[in-house]
Formats: sequence, structure tokens, C-alpha cells
Amino acid sequence: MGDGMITPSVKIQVSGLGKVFPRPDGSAHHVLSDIHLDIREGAFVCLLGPSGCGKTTLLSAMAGFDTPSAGQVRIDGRIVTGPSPRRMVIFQEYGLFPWLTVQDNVLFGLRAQGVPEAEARERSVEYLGLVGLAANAGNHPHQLSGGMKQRVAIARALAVRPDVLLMDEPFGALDAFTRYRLQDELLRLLELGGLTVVLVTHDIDEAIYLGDRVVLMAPNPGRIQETLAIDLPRPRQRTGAAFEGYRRRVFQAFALVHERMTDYAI
Amino acid sequence: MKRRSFLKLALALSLAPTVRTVDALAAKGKPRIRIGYLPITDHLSIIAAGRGNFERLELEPVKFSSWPELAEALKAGAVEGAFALTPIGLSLRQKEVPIKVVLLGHRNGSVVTVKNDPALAKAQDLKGKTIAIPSRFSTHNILIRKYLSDNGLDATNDVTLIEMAPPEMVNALATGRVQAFIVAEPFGAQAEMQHVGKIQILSKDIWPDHICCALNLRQNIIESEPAAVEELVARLVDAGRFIESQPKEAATLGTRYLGQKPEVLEYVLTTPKGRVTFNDLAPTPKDFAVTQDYLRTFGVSDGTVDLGAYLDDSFARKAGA
Amino acid sequence: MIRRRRYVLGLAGVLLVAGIWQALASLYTIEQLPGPLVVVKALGELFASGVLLKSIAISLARFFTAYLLASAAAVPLGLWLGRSLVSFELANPALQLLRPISPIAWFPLAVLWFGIGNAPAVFIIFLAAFFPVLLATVQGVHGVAPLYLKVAANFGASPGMVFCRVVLPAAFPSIATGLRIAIGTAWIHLVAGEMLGAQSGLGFLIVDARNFLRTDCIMAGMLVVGVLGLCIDSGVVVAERFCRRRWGMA
Repeated sequence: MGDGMITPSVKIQVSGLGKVFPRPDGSAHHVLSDIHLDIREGAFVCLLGPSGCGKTTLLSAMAGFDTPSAGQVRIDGRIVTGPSPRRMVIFQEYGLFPWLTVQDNVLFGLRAQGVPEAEARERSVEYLGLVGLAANAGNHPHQLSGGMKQRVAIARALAVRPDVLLMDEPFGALDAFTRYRLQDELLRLLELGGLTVVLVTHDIDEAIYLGDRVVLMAPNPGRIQETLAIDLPRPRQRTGAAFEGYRRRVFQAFALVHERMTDYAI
Repeated sequence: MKRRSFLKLALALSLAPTVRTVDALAAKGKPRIRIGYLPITDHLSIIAAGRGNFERLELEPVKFSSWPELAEALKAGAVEGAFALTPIGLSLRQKEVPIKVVLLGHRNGSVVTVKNDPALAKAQDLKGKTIAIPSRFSTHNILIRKYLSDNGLDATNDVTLIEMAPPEMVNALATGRVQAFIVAEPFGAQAEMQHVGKIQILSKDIWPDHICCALNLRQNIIESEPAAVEELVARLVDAGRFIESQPKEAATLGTRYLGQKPEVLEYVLTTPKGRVTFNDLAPTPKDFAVTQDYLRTFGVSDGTVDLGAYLDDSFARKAGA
Repeated sequence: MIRRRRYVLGLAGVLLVAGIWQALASLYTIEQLPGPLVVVKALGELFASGVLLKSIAISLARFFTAYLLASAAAVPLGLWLGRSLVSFELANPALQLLRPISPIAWFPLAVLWFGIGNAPAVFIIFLAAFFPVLLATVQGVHGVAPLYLKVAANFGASPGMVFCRVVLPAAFPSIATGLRIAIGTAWIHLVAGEMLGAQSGLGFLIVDARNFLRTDCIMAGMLVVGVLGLCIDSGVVVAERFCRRRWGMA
């Protein structure tokens, strides 16, 4: 994360992004409408909002899985047209290959990148060690808990040394205790540096705990409601007046959202 | 890739011996002639295959389990010839399958079996009953209709005729589903031996010396290998004589080809004598014309086959049949 | 402990069926419905004459040839149809048309194309196995979780790598199920397949016995067919379990 002395460059630039899906009755559903967002290199940005606000679609567009109907996403100045190992996605459902061992899962990406076998093996061991799962290298995913699976997914993603980490509600399927631990572990891993992170969540506390900035999104059409800079030093306290202060501000913003929501997206 | 070579082998094994190549005239020089038959005493002359070596052909008996399969194989040319019911042969010929009759399989050979009940003593007792026949396209259909009409009964209104596979007929008789059946031996004999049924009349007494099954050969083998066909017919005629003169020995040999116990076969051949006969096997237009007439009269089929072209009795005459 | 109980209960079930069978048989003559002891005697007779073992060997050879051919044809074809949408849309209606036709209805064509003997029997059994495996393979490929494909694309995996290392393993459970169902269906069609002028085999044994009204031999044949079918299915279950354990999905 930037140390404030040098102005980091814009890593991810979203300009005028729109995404439209046709509804069964023919009318247009604006999942995203005119999104503008600049994310600096090394920043940790959280996209926060209720269901239907388009946060996942926005992440998908950044990853290159979805092509926008309008506007574009640029990463390092180049327009995103498809997925790339430079911007790795972490999914809520982990996405581990059940027929491969933990280590082979991590090796998958390295092999896909053509990394020579010996080096790939070394790296896989290294990254599994980083997430504390070196001992489970020979297990299969079904033998692991949810939290462990997500750690493997993170190790697998980081092993190919991406610039950008895009996380789609990565801890959504986990219980609160595991979630808190993994959030801390994520922050610890990111201290190694070099990553720009965009994390999608509906958990207000998570957004404030993790993000340098919280982008509040609202539905119908999917848009950015407000952006909050979280000016808390790390390590952050989940309790305490400062944290509460941000929570209150987010709630206020969402009360506004509630007032303006004409129909529910649930 | 071990798997791939195994597959190739499996493919070769399964297809090689039976891909139908026109060369029944194999590398050996002696043509292979496959003759289809059913395990019924009508086809007993097939024991010719077990009575010594053949000089000019390799005779390969192919046992089928029912008429449709045999007819299909004959039609498709999967066998060079078969003993076929006259109506089946006529029907195939009408469909322009290139076959000719060179020899009769037998004469007589069927029986009307009724339930072992004193109430079913004569033809008139069959009124209102259900009678099983193997197929509409059979001599048995003709026989039963003739039998009924000879005795003042009308096959359409006075009885119910149903088609049934021969093996099921005995059980059907036992359980009362049918009260009578007419079919080739030894099914009738087996019903007798199980004390389930009794003979009401032998087919030879309905229509003396009637024809039933005939040896149909594919034309191409007749044309290309007349010498082999000559020997085949001669040996079959000879086998017929053997059956007539030595039924007990014939029955013993017959087990190998048909499968029933020798006692059953012997019973059919001897009790009474003449149930099935193997004399006079040259095919004549008269016999076939009568059959065609009956088929027309009884509404089974209305085709006419040029019998002069269909029948070829030259081989049979040469063999003295 | 639990396994022993399962065997004991299973055995008791079989004996119960045998008991009911014996009771039923007492209501009929031996030719109509023979009891278990009569059938066992016929079984012994067939075994002593050497016919039984020869029939079993020939039937098994035909069966496995047909099954392996069917699988070897259906799996690659299914993989291709699963991946290529155009090919699938082209082939699917025709396949759905052919699938419900019982292999038995193909008899006349089988004889026309393959004559008599081994080949038509192999063909009938082939048909019985082909469609279930093909459909299961296509479904397996179609059913690959989009998430896996996304992950693979994210890593920049080549199409070859995606196919061999993601699609194939992901589709494997469905393919394995198809293979298992197919082996059962194909075995059932064994008897039918061997009715076509085959001169040997278990199916032939049964239909031949039928012509001799040897119901005891018919039932002995049925018993052997049933037992062998059970063994084959058990073998498949074991093989499947082994593969799954090796591939980490059990």
C-alpha cells in the first residue's frame, strides 16, 4: 500500500462502464450504468453494496470475463478484453479442481504459464507455506475445510505473481471466526507488496476493516453511490470509536440508498 | 498405447470371420455351403452333415431358433440355403429374393395336438376353442383350415386361431390358454410325453403326403457350383433313406444337430410310422401350386410365383429322390 | 462387522427368494416351472458336458468386445460433441431419434450387414452400450462447472490443457456413470444378441433349451446370466471406486 511519499500511478481505470442485459419482456436491465472509478497501484478497494447493485459484474469486467456494453476498463493503460493471469480472481466457491491435490492445484496455474517443472514445484511449496498449508500439499480439496480451501485458492492465485487480485465475496461462505482470521491473513500476505486488490463484499464490517477505500454501490441502475476513504492505520481495530464512525457513515449512505430504491432487487 | 492395439485386435476378431464376403469359395477350393435349419424333425435330413466327408463342398449346418431369424438370414444371403416353410419360401421369392427350391425337406411331419381331455376327441369338438399355429405363413395354417373345413367347421367363425412360438405351445396347452395346437414335431410328441396333450390327427391324414419345408438355395451358388449342389442334394436324399430305414440310428445322430433326446426323436419317427416321411423329395410344381392356391383361398397371401423358375428338380431327379 | 451383516442379510435374501421359488414350483410340473434343486441339477449337467463353460467363455468374449468397441467409439465422439456446439446441434436430433429404438429391432439390419454368427451379436450389444455412454459423455462435458473453465481461462491455459486437464477430469464422473449403466444394459441384451444364428453362447443356450422345452436348462442359463451380470456390475463398482480414490473424488 502506498506510503504517501510518491503518488502511485493509476493501475485500474474504469471509464463510462455500462452493462445492459435484456429482460424477458424485452426491456433493458442496466446492471451497470456509467461507472467511473480510478484505482491506484497498491490500493485495496472494496466494492460494497446490496444484491443487484452490479458489484460482481463490475469485478467481472475488470477481470475480463464480461465485455461491457459501454465504456471500458483499462489496466496499466491497456483495455481489458479477456482474462489474464496478471489479474487473478478469487471466487466465493473457491474454484479448486477437486480431482487434483492441493499442490497440483497450485501447480496448475504455474504449468499453464509454462514455468519449468522444478521451479514450479519450488514455488508451489513456497506459496503453500505462505498460507500455512504446506503440510496439506497431498490432500484433496474435499478433505479441507472452507477456510483452508480459500487459502489454497489464494496461494494458487498468488503463485503466478499477478499485479491485480480481484476477489468476489471470497469469505462469504465461511463462518464469522474463519472470516476474521482469513481477513487478517490476507492483509499479512499483502504486506509482501506489489498487489492492487479489488474486493467485492456485502459485509460492511469487512469492507471497512480491509479497504483503503470503500466504494458504495446502489442498484437500478447499478451505479456508484459514494466513495469513502478509510483513514485508519493498520492493524485496525474492529471495535472502537473510529471504526464505529465509519460504520455509521456507511449506514447513513445506505439509508439514502433504501429511500431511493423503488423496487427491491431481491 | 496398449489400449489402442487391444482395441484393434478386438475389432479384427469380431469382424473378420463374419464380414460377408462373396467368397464362400474360400482359399481351400471347396465351397462352404451354410444351410439353415430349425431343431425340428422336419429338418432331420441335415444329419447328412454327420455322415461322412463331402468331396465337393463343406457343408456347414446353421441352427436357428425360430422362423423369422432363418428367413432373415436367407433373405440377406447370410446363409447359402435353408429349409424354409413353403409359404415363407414363396413369399421371399415373390419379393424377388434370388432363391430356388432344389429339394423337399420332408413330407408330412406335423400333428394336431389337443388337450388330454376325453371331451376333445374329434374335429367337431374344436368348435369354439382356441388353436395355436406357429405363423400365418405356415403350412400349418393351411392344414388346420383344411382340417376344419373338411369337418364342416369354419376357421374364421367357429374357432379362434392365434399365432404363437412353438416352445410356448405346450405350456399354453397345459395351462388352458389354448385347447389345441398344430406345429411341426417334436413339439406334439413332447406334449404327449408330458401327458399334457394327445394326438387328434396326424397331418398326413389331413392332406396325405403334403409338402411342408423345402430346401431353398441361393441362385448364385447353384449357378457357380452345380457339382457341389449335386452332391449336397444326393447326400440329403441319402440321409432321408437312412432315416426311413434306420430310425433309431438316425435319432441318435439327430440329437447332435437338433438337440432333443434320442428317445424323443425316435418316438416321432416310429410312433406311429409315417408321422414324418423322407421319401419322394423331388419338388414338383403340382405340390407348390396347390399350396399357393390354399394360401389364396385362405386369404393368407395373393401372390403368384412362377414355379417353373422357382423350382429346380434336376438335382433331385439325378439323386433318385 | 457391518460388512459381515451385509453379507449375511444378502445371503438370507437370496435364500428367501429360493424358498419362494421352491414353493411356487411345487404348484407346477417340472417342465413348466422347475424348482431350484432341479435347476441346479441341470446346471451340473451343462457343466459336466462342457457346454456351460464354453458358452460362458464365448458370451463373455463377445460381450466385452462389443462393450469395449462401444466405449471406444462413444467416449471420443461424446467428448467432441460436448465441446463443439455446432456438431452437437447437428447430431443431437438424429441421436435422440435412434436412441429409443431397441437394439432388438435392429435384427434384420444386423443380419444384412453382418451375416450370422459373432458379428451381429456383437453389433446388438454394441448398440445397447453405445448410446448410454455417448449421452453420458456429452452430458459430462456440458456439465463441466463454468467456474472451472473460468479459472483455467484466468490462468491462460491453452485449449489443449483446458481439454485434457479440466474438461476430461471434470466430465469423468458422468462418463463413469454412463459406462456403468451401459455395461448393465449391454449385458441384458446379450441373450437377444445371441439369438441371431449364433451357434454358441449363453443366449443361444437359453433359446435352444427353449426349443427343447427344457425349462430347467432355460432357468439354469438365466441363473448363470444373472450371476455373471452381478459379478460384472460388482467389478465395475470396484473399478469405479478405485479410479475415484486415485483421482481424489471419493
